[in-house]
Amino acid sequence: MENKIKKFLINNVVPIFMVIIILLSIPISGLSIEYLIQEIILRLSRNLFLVLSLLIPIIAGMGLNFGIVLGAMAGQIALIFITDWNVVGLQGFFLAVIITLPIAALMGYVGGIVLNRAKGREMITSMILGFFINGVYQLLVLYGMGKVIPIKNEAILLSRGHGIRNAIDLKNIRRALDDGITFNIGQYSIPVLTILAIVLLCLFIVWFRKTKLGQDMRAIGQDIEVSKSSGIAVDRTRILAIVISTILAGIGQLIFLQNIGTMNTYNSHEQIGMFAIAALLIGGATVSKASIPNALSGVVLFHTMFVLAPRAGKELIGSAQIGEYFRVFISYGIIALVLILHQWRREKEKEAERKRILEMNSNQAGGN
Amino acid sequence: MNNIKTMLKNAGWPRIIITLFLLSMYVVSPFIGINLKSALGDTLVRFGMNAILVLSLVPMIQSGTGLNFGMPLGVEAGLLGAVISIEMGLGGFMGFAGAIIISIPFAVLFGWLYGHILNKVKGGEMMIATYIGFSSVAIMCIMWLVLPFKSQDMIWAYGGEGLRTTISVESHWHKILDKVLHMPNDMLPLGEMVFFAILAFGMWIFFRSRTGYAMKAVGTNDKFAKATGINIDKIRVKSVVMSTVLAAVGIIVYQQSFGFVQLYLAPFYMAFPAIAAILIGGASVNKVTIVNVVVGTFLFQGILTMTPSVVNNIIQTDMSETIRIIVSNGMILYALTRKEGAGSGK
Amino acid sequence: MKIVRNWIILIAVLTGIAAALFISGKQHKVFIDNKKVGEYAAIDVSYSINGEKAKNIKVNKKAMVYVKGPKHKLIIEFKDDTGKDVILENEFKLTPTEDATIYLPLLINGEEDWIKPNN
Repeated sequence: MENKIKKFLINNVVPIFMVIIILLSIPISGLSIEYLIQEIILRLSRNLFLVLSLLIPIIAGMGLNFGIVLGAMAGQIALIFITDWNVVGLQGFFLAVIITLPIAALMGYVGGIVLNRAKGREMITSMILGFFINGVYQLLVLYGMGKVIPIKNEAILLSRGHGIRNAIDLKNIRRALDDGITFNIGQYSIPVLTILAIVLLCLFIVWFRKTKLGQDMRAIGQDIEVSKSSGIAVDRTRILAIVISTILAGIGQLIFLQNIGTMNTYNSHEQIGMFAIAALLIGGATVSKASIPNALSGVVLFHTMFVLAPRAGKELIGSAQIGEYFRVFISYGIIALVLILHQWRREKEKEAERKRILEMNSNQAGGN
Repeated sequence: MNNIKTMLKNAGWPRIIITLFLLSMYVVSPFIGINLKSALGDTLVRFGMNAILVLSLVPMIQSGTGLNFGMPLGVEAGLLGAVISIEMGLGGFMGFAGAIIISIPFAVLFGWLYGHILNKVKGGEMMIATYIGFSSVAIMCIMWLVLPFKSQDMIWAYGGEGLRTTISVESHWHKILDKVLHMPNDMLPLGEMVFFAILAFGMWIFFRSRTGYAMKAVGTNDKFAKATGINIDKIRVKSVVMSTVLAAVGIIVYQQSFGFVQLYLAPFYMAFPAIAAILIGGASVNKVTIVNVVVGTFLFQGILTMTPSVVNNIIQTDMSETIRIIVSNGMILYALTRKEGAGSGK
Repeated sequence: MKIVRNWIILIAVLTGIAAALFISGKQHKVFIDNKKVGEYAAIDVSYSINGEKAKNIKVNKKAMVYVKGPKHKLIIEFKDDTGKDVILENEFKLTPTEDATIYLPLLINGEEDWIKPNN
């Protein structure tokens, strides 16, 4: 019994630590519970989809997919188009989704190929890949659009005639999905369609895990060599994992942006990877194991801290700026901590394996 | 014929493409009205600014600890040294030397902790180094706001809190290395070059010492090194400390040339250009020579200096930032996707 | 073969949906022009598009509304020469890439082409 509690604590040290920090910060910050709850509902509906898109590559043993930035960029390109074409409302949103699909699939394909050539270093490679494709995206959006790719809507072009502006008002599809159907509980407004999308994604993930493809991915995640010898097309399956993840990230970014209502053409996607990954890890996921509860609790914890930290910093030390830097520190520090724990545990497991094999061999030798 | 072929293969296609690209820009520039001498001069100045930061990557690569994405840690130590030196009012060469001397104990301490953490995570160093770097920048941001600095040059004028984001070293040690070691008509930044040459030479000598050889052995094949009785963990920590200290020195040299001390979020992404430079120069995740450092820094800074002017004049658009992103990250990507041989760096 | 066929069907369906979304979601600019056209004078009119709250437009003024999709209903209310209140209901259609102008004087006097595309 004691051992079970100990195991639970160790496995979930990160979320527990976060909960403690949050519980301490709530009274300090002076924010009301109602405000917090409304913020959490808002941020959950906005961010959960994106965080969920990280799950599949983890299942396939490819670690944290920093490449979801690629999906975000695909979504943003789609948004530029529908804003240029002036398609509004729910139709605009869904059209953006459809346009995102091929772009994100292509990006995911490229990402999958690159990651296959960097087996064992997927995470840092996907991070750098994100930066690289950001450069390509800039090339396309800042220089290509208006010149090579026809854009008619002058409101979104820079004054020099080509290149998209820094910030695009998405008033056309603002809250299109959120306000599609709303449901009010007391004073809290709940965006039904968005939540429906998230629920559908969860169902999809649960179903996917049971399909052959999903099982293949889990096998690859456990052990690449064994999967290869059982006839699984390892490279192809890994690429598929990234493609699916990138497409989901694209849709997730669309959900995110329609909620916020403005798109920072060159910045909106940059922090997405960091925040989504931080949230997932804070929810107790590791580099090799992640589940929907991790994503859910992670988003709640991460974003609660996000809201509390500057306020608490202000009340406690008199500086909201410190609170903001503190939350940056916590986000990155947690990722570093989780990565360290994960690697350390893997080393221990490998050593234990080695010891076992040695013992087995010596037993056999001794037995003869 | 075979010789040329092997040379090309060793050089690697991306490097050849970049060299040709750079050469073509030098060739084209007089035709579009760019002063070749000043462009070359600019490149050399930037070389002097960045070379030591790139050099700082060498120890960790040699010991198989991977590319030092945690360079911000060393940079922060250097910033501490610089800021304290200004606080103490040191000027001129004393200020510069003081900054370096003060930053060394910090760098050693940071590097020691950092090295021990990296030892516990063999196989995943690069990812973790990145986040240790990021976290350290965030913590130092808080420090810059909180630490009790008083110098008028550094704190916000009208009662804001903490240090300013950029602090000018104009009156202290701006371009001090140049003032110390001078070259007529300012063609070469002689001061920085000599300083770099001294450090590079020092490193060359170090790697011919016993510890140096041991370090290379650990990087090439750590099992074999262990079997020869080398304490891998201790050597790795040593290499991390060396890299961190050099990064601290590197940022101080950078600042004295640039003219400003940049605090807060500036060091955040500083590791990436240096890593791109060394990879362009021919290094891999666990193999590097000083030639890589020199060639790589020159090529990388060359592209950064030439591209804005040339591209602007040809296409009438400023693409420099975007090209910089594509080139530097493309190089790192290339290095990461090569099939690597021995060593445990990841 | 089956895989190729399935993909083609999928892409065809998605393209169809995309086209439908584009048409039904496209926002058009419609100008309401109340200036004299030829010999038809203009009078003050109140108009309502797609059931929205009625708006007044005075003589020689031009108003603009945004509408979404292809088919729309226009209801106008005005006083004719005898001082009687007249209410007219009309529908108009817009092709996907069209912006249009409604010339109220033409509409009031029963002309056929009271709405003309801008491009």
